[in-house]
Amino acid sequence: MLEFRIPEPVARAMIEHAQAEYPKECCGFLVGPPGEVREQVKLTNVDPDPVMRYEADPKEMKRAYDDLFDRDWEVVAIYHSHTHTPAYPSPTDVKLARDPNAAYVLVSLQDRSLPDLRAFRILEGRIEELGVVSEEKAR
Amino acid sequence: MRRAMAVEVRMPTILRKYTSGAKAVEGSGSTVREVIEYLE
Repeated sequence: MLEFRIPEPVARAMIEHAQAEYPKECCGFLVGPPGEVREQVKLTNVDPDPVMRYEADPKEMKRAYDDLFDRDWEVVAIYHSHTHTPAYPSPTDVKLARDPNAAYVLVSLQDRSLPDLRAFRILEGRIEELGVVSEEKAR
Repeated sequence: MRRAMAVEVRMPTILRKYTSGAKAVEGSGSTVREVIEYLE
């Protein structure tokens, strides 16, 4: 299984974001130099049914992409939460996964006291799980 | 009246293989569709 490294503070911030938005789904980017997660970018879920689905605010995404362009960074992963189902891509998630470069990170709050965090690659409808490695310090 | 104008088109990393690695290219058009057609 391929590894997917997330600095521990970023992993914690992502879970905190999911808890803060509960029962709505949260969403955001993990960004950094190609292939390396350095920071979290929180995005607002503007889907009309935010408990069941997510759609990131396009204006916030534009701002994030402009910032990444200036820093020569990229979207290393796209994350969102599931508040009532496991941390595994739903059929909708698979259908909407258009970026073969990015990992898809899921935070499940099915059990709110025990958040689950998993990462995947989704290529042409195929789901491949990545082994999440969370480290105290960014490399 | 719509006028074509020169715009900077910023390429996401995933599409840079189509621009020989360039981060941005110049495009032209009065609508997004025209800019994309210009680039193609």
